[in-house]
This record gives sequence, structure tokens and C-alpha cells, in this order.
Amino acid sequence: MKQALRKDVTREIRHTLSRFIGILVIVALGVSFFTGLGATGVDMKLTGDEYFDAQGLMDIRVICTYGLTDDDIQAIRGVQNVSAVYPSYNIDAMVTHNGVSYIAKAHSLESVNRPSLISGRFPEKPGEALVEQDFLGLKPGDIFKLVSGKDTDIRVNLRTDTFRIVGVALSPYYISRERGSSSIGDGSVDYFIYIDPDNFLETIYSEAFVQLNGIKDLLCFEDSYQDIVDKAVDDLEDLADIRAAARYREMTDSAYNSLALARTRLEAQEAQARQELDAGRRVIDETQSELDGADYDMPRRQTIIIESLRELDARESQVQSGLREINTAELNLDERELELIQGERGVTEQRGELDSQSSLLAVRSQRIALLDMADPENQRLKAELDAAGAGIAAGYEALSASMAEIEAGKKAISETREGLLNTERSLKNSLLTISESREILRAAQNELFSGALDISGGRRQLDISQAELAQSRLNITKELDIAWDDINNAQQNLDDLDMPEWYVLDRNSNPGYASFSQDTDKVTAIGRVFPLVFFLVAALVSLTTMTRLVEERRTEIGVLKSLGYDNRAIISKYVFYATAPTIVGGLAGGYGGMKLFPAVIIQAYGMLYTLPRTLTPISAEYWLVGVGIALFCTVTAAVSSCMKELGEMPAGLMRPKAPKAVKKILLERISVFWKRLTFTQKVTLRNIFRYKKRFYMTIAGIAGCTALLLTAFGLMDSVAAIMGLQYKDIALYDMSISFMDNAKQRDVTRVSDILQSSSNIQGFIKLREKAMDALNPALNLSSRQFFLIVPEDMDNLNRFIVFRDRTTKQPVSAPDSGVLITEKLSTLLNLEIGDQILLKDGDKSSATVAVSGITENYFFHYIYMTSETYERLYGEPPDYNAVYALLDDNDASLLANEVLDERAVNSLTFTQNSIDSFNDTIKSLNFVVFILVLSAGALAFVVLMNLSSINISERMRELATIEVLGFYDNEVSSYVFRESAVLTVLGALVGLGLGIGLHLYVLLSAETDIMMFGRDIMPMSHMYSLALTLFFSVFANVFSSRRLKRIQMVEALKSVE
Amino acid sequence: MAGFVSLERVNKRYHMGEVVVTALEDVSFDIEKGEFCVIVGASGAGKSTVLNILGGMDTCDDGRVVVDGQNVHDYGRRRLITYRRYDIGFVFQFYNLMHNLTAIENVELATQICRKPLDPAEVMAHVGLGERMNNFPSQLSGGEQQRVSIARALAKNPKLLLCDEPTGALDYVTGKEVLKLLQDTCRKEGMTVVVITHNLAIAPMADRIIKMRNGRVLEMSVNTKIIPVENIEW
Repeated sequence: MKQALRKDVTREIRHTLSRFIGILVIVALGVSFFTGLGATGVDMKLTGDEYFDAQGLMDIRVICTYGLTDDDIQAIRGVQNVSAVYPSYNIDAMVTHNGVSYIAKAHSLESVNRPSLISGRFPEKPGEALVEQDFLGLKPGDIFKLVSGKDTDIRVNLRTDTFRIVGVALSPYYISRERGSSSIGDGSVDYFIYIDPDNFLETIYSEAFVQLNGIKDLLCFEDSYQDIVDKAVDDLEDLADIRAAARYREMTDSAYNSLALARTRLEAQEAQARQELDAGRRVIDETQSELDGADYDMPRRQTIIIESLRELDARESQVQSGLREINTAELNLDERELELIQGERGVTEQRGELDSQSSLLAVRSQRIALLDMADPENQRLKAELDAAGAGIAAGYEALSASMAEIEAGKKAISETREGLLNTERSLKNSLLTISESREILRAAQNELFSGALDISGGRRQLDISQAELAQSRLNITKELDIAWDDINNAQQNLDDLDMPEWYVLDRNSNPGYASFSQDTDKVTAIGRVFPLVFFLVAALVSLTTMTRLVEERRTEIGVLKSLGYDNRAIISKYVFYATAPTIVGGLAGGYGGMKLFPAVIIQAYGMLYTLPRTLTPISAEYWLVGVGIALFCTVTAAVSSCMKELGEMPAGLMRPKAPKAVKKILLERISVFWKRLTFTQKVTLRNIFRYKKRFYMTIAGIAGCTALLLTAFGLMDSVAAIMGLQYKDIALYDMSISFMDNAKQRDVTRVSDILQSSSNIQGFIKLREKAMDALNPALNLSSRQFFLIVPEDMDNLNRFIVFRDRTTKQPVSAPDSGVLITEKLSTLLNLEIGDQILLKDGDKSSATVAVSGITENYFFHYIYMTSETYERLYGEPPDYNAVYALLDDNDASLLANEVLDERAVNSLTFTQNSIDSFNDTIKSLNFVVFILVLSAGALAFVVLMNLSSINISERMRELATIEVLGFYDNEVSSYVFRESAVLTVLGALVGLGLGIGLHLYVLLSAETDIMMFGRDIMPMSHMYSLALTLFFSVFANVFSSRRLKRIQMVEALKSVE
Repeated sequence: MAGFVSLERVNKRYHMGEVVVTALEDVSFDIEKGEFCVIVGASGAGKSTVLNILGGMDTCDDGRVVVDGQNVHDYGRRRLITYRRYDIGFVFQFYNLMHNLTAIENVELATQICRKPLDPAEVMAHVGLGERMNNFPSQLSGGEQQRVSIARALAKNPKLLLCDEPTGALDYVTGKEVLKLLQDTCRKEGMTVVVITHNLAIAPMADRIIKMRNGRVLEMSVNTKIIPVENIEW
């Protein structure tokens, strides 16, 4: 470049400093974003990698379901590319502080995963501990005690349970707050501590940490590292199968043997016991039958005796009544005898009378005979006498008859009496016989009673013996049952004893490491898109600036051309004008960006990760590429704006540029609308549509600003949505419990009984929860891990998990014969309703089923199916291995402890814990949002300043004219700013549209496969973005309006442009 | 009593870095109402400065500037704007029309801020552009554009019409037409018109001629032998 030109260009810069600075600033912004955000991801990775290398973080961790033996360790050492294996111990223990129990994971201190000391020293002997920062608020020198979280004493596992803190350290193994899960307490580890390996009494190692060869120099988050690790993992997994089988044999062989022995011994015992019992039984049975015989005779004999007695009684009473009859008969005889005697006496008396009468008669008859008989009186007397005489004779006759009768009577009576006496005698004999018989019977009866007494005594005796026998049988049976149970359980356990399973885990299984790695990718992904906006705007800014400059220097270009400078020389001025601020701004912005952004962002992430030092090296690559892109933008702009002018002839250039022909803009054709506008409005509209470059630059700049703001606010919305939607609208359960793989159904039932009776629980549901892999059988996409959820009762599941469509918020019906899958899974696998999905459970089984619905979900992938579907697919009903529960508001930690004490329970998780850890992420995001808002403001400011600067200088004459015409300052301002106001509003509206797209892009880049951010931006965020954009715009306008007042009307009006 | 326009001992100096340039030195003159005044002088004589100060676009360092009884020299920024708005019509050498406005809209731009504006369409007809008032400036010739500029100044119905080299960018014939328009306006409407020019040949058409050189008034004379524009040759 010729000297004169060089002078010219430096003066040019001095005179148009604000434009020059405009280019410089926008380039600096663009490059700083490009390098800064780009470098942040790299710096985070570097920072992490350096730390991990320095502390010897394991590359692979091997654990086995039954721990690892020395043989295992030896085998791992033999695997290719393994440089070191560190067998290690760890144990989860409870530590209580101020009445609250925490779970601490005690690791043996090895030369792998070395903690970096903050203060104090490393533990050197049992009873010393290295703790993390803020461990229970304790300091070095303090003492704490570890308590087993299980029924056993912790001193079974550890030499001592009391530890003195000797140092505080960070651990590369725990870079995030995440401490992993535990099978004790509330299921999540709160603290890590390191103790000397000698503390551990166990012989079986808990885990083995493996370091590999040839990866120290690689960046551990990159594929080249991962490839080596994957190879080693594959080798170790091959080894795992061999070692697991060997270990299984080791464990089972001896167990099977001793079990067989126990079984034989028990069988012998059982047989003997049975024999003894049977003998006892027999004795009892005999006695029993004897007694039963006796028992059977006794009542019969008793009856006979009683009947005989009764007969005797009857006969006796017969005899008695006979005797009574005899007595009566005798009495009768006595009476008749008496009557007879009296009759005899009567007869005798009558005879005496008759004798007296007969003597009298005889006297009288003598006297009569003396008497005349003729006299009638005499006659009559005589008749009478005769009659009397006859009568007396008759009397005599009668008396003799009576006498004879009486005699006969007497004779009969004495005969009867004789008979009666005989009868009486024989009766009396019978009585005697009867009483004798009775006597005999009574004796027999007595004899019988005493026999009965004997029998019941025997029977009592028998009962006792029987009870004794039953008892001893029961005891023996019970003992045997227990013994058998033990043997069976042992057998069952042995049968159930799964093959020892090895888990070969790389660093990605470390929760802190994995999320750190993902976060670095997120930052890098975001860093890829934002600079784009800035570079675009930088290109537009320099294009308008250069165009303006070239137009202003039209005559000068003409002069130079006419003087004989070639196009290259002339362009070089403007290229230099563009290059200088680009290089200065680019280098400065690049440096600032690489120092500022990584520091700020890593600082923000520092709340999530404990890394000891931050590395922010300058990456020459990013720097050069950033400046290069910026140079390309600005130089292209400069050259292209020169080329147009350079095409003209010098003479044409030196003439004033023909005023641009003004065409009516489209709006003018709508005369109804156009007529209503004031002139300033018309001018504004015409200006807006006339200067296309400025139009696009402003729209792009403002839109970029709004889009950045909307993205920033939208990001907050989206992340907050996970909390709000996932945990408040979708997954309603407050607590989930997972059971051991081999949990017995009755143990599971015990847990549900606990839940059923707990007052904390408002409801719970049993379900099968199983991690599986899903594939789209129709497409060649990589498989995705998901959780299969099979509720016991699908209809009841909606109390715990809501199925709904994300956009319409309408409920999605529960699956019937198909499965319901979550939205992100459907996106990843490109599945729609009605498609088939392939569910793989490791290598074990695979099933194909139709997708019946897609439901909103933000965390992990889930597939829901009914138990009927499960049974249809897998041929067996599901084993329920998890419980979701709704809690009331009270503290449920007691319940949690109770549940965790159950042996069936593997872990227990409170949803609240997930929410809490999420809030941390949101905090770090606020920083990012703040940076975005700031840069959006800077962008808007640069663009608007540039716009108004060009606007003002380009239309200096117009402005001077209207000032001369007597426009007040505010009228002049509004004349200019109405245009930028309209453009700002237009740009902001475009920006809202762009922002939605940008937001989605950032979401999709920042999102990991297992997570879905909320897709919606809240209305308030749109408002904020608009309002902030307008604010920035007003700010820039106020800033440049001061320039308006300094316009020199006179100067402006003098010359031709 | 001083005239309608009166300048008394007006001084104006420009500071350009270390250098002080004296633009006006003790400039005094009066112009009566309804006069057609020509201020003539070579480049740098200070005539534009006078016009700027008269038009309220610049201020003098000292001295008095009185227009229709208003002490313009005392005015602050805002009062000056108001003064320009209501009392001054300005015709520029390079027209300074708004490219984005049609001819009539350029006129309306001025009238919309005035208290008693004339009807823009009438004014356009008056300056002979009744037919072309909906054209954009770029569609008009230089003379036509200058007429629009004059129409814009006149439509404000100002007290004082200031013209800065109104013919400077025009050819001979067109220039004469424009001068005729200005003179007619002065005569027919009784408008006070001040024209600055370096072209001494124009002077004979004026009522008053003020000659300037090096920031001083060289001579002020009232022209008794007014020659109509048509008869002036240069």
C-alpha cells in the first residue's frame, strides 16, 4: 500500500471511529463467543482429565455379586493392556450426628482414585479416617463412630468402629454431589470416607479398580480413550464369564456336599425317631383296646344287675302283697268265725226261747184242752196255739238247719285257715329268697363299680401317655421340619444361587463423571450455535458499514482511479479498514472469551462438581478459526461493497451519485391505509423499505438479540418444566421401593403389609420394573435402554403415573394389548402408534409388541404394559419387584427405615431427593442465562448503535434540512428513531420465531438421550425477551440521540453528497 | 428605529483548533419589510454566515440581531428552533428535498409544523408545479426541485424568506425563472426576501444590495433603478 493511501486509511479510521469500533466490537463479541464457548467444553474436559490423571482415577471398575477373590484379581491382572489392578474394600455404614443418621461409604485407601488432600494427612493405621469437606461439620482431630446399617455388628467387617479424622480431601471418584446408592438406611450415600485397608477384616474384595496402559496422554472424554477402554471392557467381560463360572463351582461344590451329608444324617435321625414314636403308639393302642373292651362289658353287667334288682323288687312287692292278701283273708275268716259263733249263740238263745215257748204252749195247750172247745174264742186260741206250736216246731227245724249251717261254716273256715297258713308260709320263704338274691346282686354291683373306677384311672393314664406321645411327636416333627427347612432353604439358596455376576464398568458408570462428561458436551453443543448469530450479525454490520463508507468515498475512489491506482490498491484500503478491527477485535475477543467464558461457566459448574483447579489454556486453534471466520465475513463484506462502485468509470464516480429512483412501496398502493399516515410515518416506512441492507442488518441483529434472550429464558422454562411436569404432573408417586432380584414373595408381602398399615402411606401399587433395551425392528437405529413397568393393576396406576399427550394435555388411555411408550423413546426409535417395537432383555429374551400409545415424559424412557400382556409375551406372570407409593405430608423417614430393614428391600428412593439434586443444575443454568442476556444486550446495542450511526450520517442533510425547517429536537429524534423502533419491533417479532427454533436446537443439543427438556416456552419468557430487547433498543437510541444535537446544520447543507 | 431586519455590530468567530477564524466583524445593516435584498460577495466573504445567523441556524458572538422586533441574538437553542419554525423560510442552493417524499409531501413536511400554513397544493400551483406535485424529487429537474424548495419555504408563510445561492446549481434559464419566482413572490405577496449570491449580476434586480468582503459589510445601498429579472444578463 502506498504511503499516501496508508495515511488516508488511518485518517479515515480516525474520522469514522464509531463505525470502526462497531465492527471491532461485534467481531470481538462473535469471536469471544466462538472461542469462549468452544473452549469451555474443551477446558472442562482438560480440567477433568488433568485431575483424573493426576489422581489416578480408575479406568475400569470390576465388581462381582459375591465379591472378588485373589484368584479373580490375579486373572484380571492377566488381561491384555491392564497396567494395574487395585483390589479394594468398601462398606456402607451409618454415622450419627446430632441425632440424625447419615450413610457414609468407607473406602479402603489405595493408590488408585487417590483423594487430593485439602488439609491434614492420609490415614496410616486403622482407626484413622480421611473425610470429605463438610463431613458432619467435623474437623481433623474429631472422632466419629460407624454403625452397621444391618443387624450385624460392624466389627464383623471392620477392625474398629471408631475413627479419628486425620485429613480432609477431594476425591476424583466423587466429583459431583452424587454419592451413589446404598442398600442400607434411606438408600442414598451421603458421605464418602477413606480408611486404611487394614481396617477391613474381610478376605473377599468389594471391588477392583483397573488402570490401563497407553491412555494417560489421551483426553478421557474423547473417543480415542473410550475405544481403548471399550476393548479392555470386552476382554474383561470375556474373563468375567470364565471367572464367574469358576467361582460358582467353588462356592456350590462344597455346599452341595455338606448339604447331601446333612440330608443323609437327618434322614437317619428321622427314621429312628419315627420308630420310637411308633413303638410308643403301639403300647398305647393296646391299652386303649383293653380299656375299650372293659368299657364295653361294664354297662351291660350293670344293666343286668339293675334289671335283676328291679325284678327282685317286683317279686318282693308281689310276695308282700300276697302276704297282705293272706292277712286280709285271715281277718275275714276271723270275722266269719265270730259271726258263726254269734250265730250259734243266737241259735242256742232261740232254742231256749223255743223251749220256753214250747213249755208255755204245752201248759197253755193243757189249759185249752180244758176249755170248751166250742167256744170260738177258744177255738181261735186253740188255732193260735196250734199255729204257735207249728211255728215253734218250724223254729226248731230252722234252728237245727242253722246249726248245721254253722257247723259247716266252722268246718270251712278252719279248712281255709289251714290253706292260708300254708300259703303264708311259702310266701315268707320267697321273701327270704329275694333278700338273699338282692344281697348277691348288691355284691355284684359293688364289684362292678370298683371295676369302673379302675378303668377310668387306666384311661386317664392312657390320655397322659397319649398326650406325651403326641407332644414328643410334635417336637420331633418340628425339629425335623426345621432341620429339613434348613436343608431345603440351603438347597433353595444353593439352587437360587445365581451365577456370580461380574460388572465391568467404565468411568461412565460413575455418576459424577458421566454427568460431567455430558455437561461438557452440552456446553460444546451450545457453543456451536450462538457464535453463528454473532458472526451473521458481524457480517451484516461490516457490510452496511463498508457500503456506507464506500458510498461516501465515491468521489475519492473516482479520483484514485483517475489518478491511475488499480482496483486492488483501492480495495486494499477498505479491506484494511475491515481487517484491522476484525483482527484487533477478533484477537482481543478471542483471548477474553477463552479466559472469561470457561472460567465463568466452569465456576458455575463448580457448584455441581468439585474439581481442584480450573485450566483455561488459550487454544490457538479456536483463536485462529474464530478470527478467520470473522475475517471472512468482514473482508467479503468490504470487497463486495467496493466491487459495485469500482465497476463504474472514474468520471461517473466523481459526479454526484444519481439520486436513487424512489419507487412507491407496496403499502402506498393501499391508499386507504397510506392516506392516514403522517409524513414522518410515510418517510419512516419508505426509508425502512428502501435501505435493504440496513433493514436486514437491523432485523438480524434485533432478531438475534431477542432470539438469544428467548433461548435463555426458554432454557430456564424447559429445565424447570422437568421439575414441574415430571415430578408434579406425571410421576406423582413420592417414594419408590425396589426389591431384591431374588426376593421371596412372602417377604414382599410383608413389605406391603407394612405399607398397608402405615399412616404415612396414602396409597401404593406393586409393579414390575425392569431395565431392558428397545429397538425399532423396522429401522436400523441403535437400541435404547428403558424401564419396563408392569403394574399389578393397570387401572390403578393413574394415581401414581399420569399418561397424557404433551401438546394437548389430553389423557392417553392405558395400554391394553399393546404397550404405551414415552415420548422421547418414540422419537429416538422413530416409532408411531401402531408400529411394532422389539423389547430385548439382555440376551435372555426378546419380544415384539405393538405400540398402542405415546405419553409425555421427561426423564428416562419407560414402557408400560399390563400384566396380561406380560404373561402373553413372556409366558409367565410378572414378578413384582417394586412399589410406588404416595405419602402424606409427614416425615416418612421412620417408615423408610422400617421398610429398609426388610430383607426383600433393595433400595428406597424419595422423589424429593431427585427434585433436590435437580435444583442444583438449575442454579448453574442461571449463570448461563445471565451470560446470554448480557451478550444479547451487547449484540442489540452494537447493532442499534451502528444502525443509528449510519442512519444519522447517511441522512445528515435530511436531518439538517428538517432542523432548518424548525423541527424540535424530539421531532428530529422521532424522525430517526421511529424507523429503528419499527425495525426493532419487527426484528423482535422475527426473533421470537427464531428464538423458538434456537431454543429447540439448544435443547436438543443439550439434552441427553435419557432426558427430555420441556419443549414449551412460557408466555412470560416471550414478554421478558421482548421487553428486554425494547429496553436495549431504547438505551442505544438514547445514547445516539446525543449525536443528533451536535449536527452542524450549516456544514451539512453546504456540500453535495 | 431600526428596520424590519436589523443587524448591529455582529461579530462571529470560529475556533478551529488553535486557529481562530473571524467570519463576521462588526456587521450592521437593516432591511425593510417587503424588500428584496441581495447580499453579494466572493466565497468566504461571510455572506452565508450572515444568512445562517439571520435564519437562526447559527448564533453571533456579540452584537444584536433583531427580526420583526424579536431579539434573535438572545435566543437559546429551543427559541431558535421555534423562530425557524414559524418565521423563517429557507431556500437552499442544493434544494435539500426529502428524496423519500413527493414534491407536495415535501411541502407538507413544512406546513405540518406551522401555525398558519398556506395550502400546499395552491403553493405548488403558484410555483408552477401544479401538474407535477406527486412526483418524487428524483423525477424532477433541478429548476423544478428548486421551485419545490421555494414552495416549501413559502408554504410556511414565513416573515422572512432566506435564499442561499438559489441559482448556484441551476443553468442560466432555469436560474432566471427561479429568480423571477422569488421576485414575483416579493412583489405580489409582500414577502421580505434575502438572497445571497456571489453573482453580482443579480444585484440590479434587488431593492437593497449589501456587498460583503472578508467578513465586513463593504457597502449597503438601496437600488433605485430596479431592473426586472428578464432583463438581467450574466
